[in-house]
Amino acid sequence: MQITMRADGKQAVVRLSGRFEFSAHREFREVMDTALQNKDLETVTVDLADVDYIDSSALGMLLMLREKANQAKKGLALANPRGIVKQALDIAHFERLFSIV
Amino acid sequence: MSGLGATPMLPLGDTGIKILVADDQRVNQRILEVFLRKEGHTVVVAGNGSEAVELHRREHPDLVLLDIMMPVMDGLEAARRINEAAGDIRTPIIFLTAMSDQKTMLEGLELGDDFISKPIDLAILRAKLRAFIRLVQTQRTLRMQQQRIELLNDEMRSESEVASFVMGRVLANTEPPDGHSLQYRVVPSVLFSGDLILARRTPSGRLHILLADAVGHGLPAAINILPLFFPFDGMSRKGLPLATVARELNRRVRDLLPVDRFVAATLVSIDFDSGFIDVWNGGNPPALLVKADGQLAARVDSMQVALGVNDDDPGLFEPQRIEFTADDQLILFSDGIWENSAFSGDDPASRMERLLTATPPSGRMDALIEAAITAGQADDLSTVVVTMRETELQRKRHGIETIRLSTTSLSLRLGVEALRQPDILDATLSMARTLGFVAHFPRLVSIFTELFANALEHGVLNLSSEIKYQSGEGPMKFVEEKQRRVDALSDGFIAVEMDLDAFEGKQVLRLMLSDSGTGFDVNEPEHATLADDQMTARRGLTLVRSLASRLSYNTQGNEVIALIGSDRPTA
Repeated sequence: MQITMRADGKQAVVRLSGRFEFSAHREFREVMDTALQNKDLETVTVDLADVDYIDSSALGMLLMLREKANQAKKGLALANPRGIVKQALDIAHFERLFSIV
Repeated sequence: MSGLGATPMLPLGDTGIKILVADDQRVNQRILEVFLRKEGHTVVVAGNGSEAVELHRREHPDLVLLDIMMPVMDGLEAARRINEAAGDIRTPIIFLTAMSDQKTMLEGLELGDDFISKPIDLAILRAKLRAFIRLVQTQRTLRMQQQRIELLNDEMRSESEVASFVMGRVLANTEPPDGHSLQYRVVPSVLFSGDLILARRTPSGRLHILLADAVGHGLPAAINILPLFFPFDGMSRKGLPLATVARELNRRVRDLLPVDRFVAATLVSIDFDSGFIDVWNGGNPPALLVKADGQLAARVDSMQVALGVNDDDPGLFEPQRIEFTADDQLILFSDGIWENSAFSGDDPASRMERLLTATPPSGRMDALIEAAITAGQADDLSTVVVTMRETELQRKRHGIETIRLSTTSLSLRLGVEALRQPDILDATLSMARTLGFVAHFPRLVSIFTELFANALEHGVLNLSSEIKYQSGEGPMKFVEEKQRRVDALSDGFIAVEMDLDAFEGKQVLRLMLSDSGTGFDVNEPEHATLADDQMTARRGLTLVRSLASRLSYNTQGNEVIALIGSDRPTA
């Protein structure tokens, strides 16, 4: 999986692409920690448009991220899930936990 | 875990290694020993090939200097044996020889790594040793890593064996009642599974099933699942309601596991007597109910987030109720099957339905698993298939059309076929009983019996009650006439609805009956011609009025609504 982050003023968009699964664990955490520690940022959006697979450990990473974002008092949104990724988020009912845009 | 400390430690130093020298000449032994010690190495000396083999076995040298011409056992034979004993990682061997024929050189290079010609030039030996020391150090690292890997592997295997044993216990089967069947299968993607299937009968005979799928797979996932076992088992044995079990499991996962570790779960309670299945699905693929021919009859999709992620709010754990009939199958599976490429795509349900309709009922569980394995298994695969037979109640209930059924409401339509059943009243009441309505609203039985008799006799069958209350043959005639009209019935229905409602600040049961009859004059006074001490036509209604909190008819007189309080009837 590839991760890129673009910060623009108070907002950051973290764009993931490829298969979002356990192997992405370390990199995902590093990028997210960087984003959450950045005092200028108010919201972080995880863009899933280019993710073509997500497994349950990745859902777990999103839950962990949600908890950290809450602690850091930053807004968090998931954006553009599609196909099997959208299906996985739907089954897990993540719309109750995250703002999905 | 002690293992690594037990690994034989090789003598260490920046460049010093342990060298076995084998030569039958004392002088040569001495020269080499003194020289090598000065260079900082540890030296072990053998006087012939046989001693060399033995010392190699005992001392684990890093390098062997082996004279070819030796008594007892020559150097080539010793090299052969040393290599055999060394296994995968060979000890480098340098032959010392005065001979230079091609055959010996070739054989030596096959068994060893290099030659040094005698008499030995110590500068050349030093240069060659430098290269071998690098090799030895690499080998030493390699050997330690290999030992470490083997050790970890052993530990993992033994942990796995313990865990598999536990999981095997956890999966212990529970038999459903006669005629019904329960099949399940878990196929782990690695040594053992992060999927778990539990089944337990409750004291009243319901079957509780849990299909859980923890994040990831292998040992960590299996560990995450174990906390579910005891609460599920204990609470099911006590017969606690499914919502209570689900809520407790959520609480356990929340309390025990880190935030990114959740457990998708489908919890099911099958009431074989009354034909209901309660399903709670948090984060799993849909639970499917299919007909004997494999057609989809009902599905319960994920309704909440997974166990461990839900708030501890009782409202989140209310199950959804579906009804089954004879030969229906309840099919549960983990996302390893649902998201498998054999089914995934735009419409996994219809792809799965195609497989199910093409497979006889008894082979469906294996067919799902095989399809997923054939398409390439990426995750743990698990399925449960419960095949239901007709329940006693369903036999009675034949012809009752269920319009709506939930844990709090019931809506039925009794057509001609149902109204012909002699025990239709009982069958209808037993449905109300399974919803707990009779227990909560004890007056329901009397009120329903009276109103149902009215709706059938006076509404659908259009019987006059006058005949019933004539003295002498009257009641008998009435029964005969009723049976005659029931047998001849070609048209007509009674609709029944029961819901929870509130009346004057209290919870009541709202009962509504409507029938296909023409109704009666609601305002008509009690029948004038009948004596007071006889059963009057309206005696039933009078009883109902006294029992119900409120009773109202529509103006036509073919629809009645009773509000029934939860207090017991007073004697």
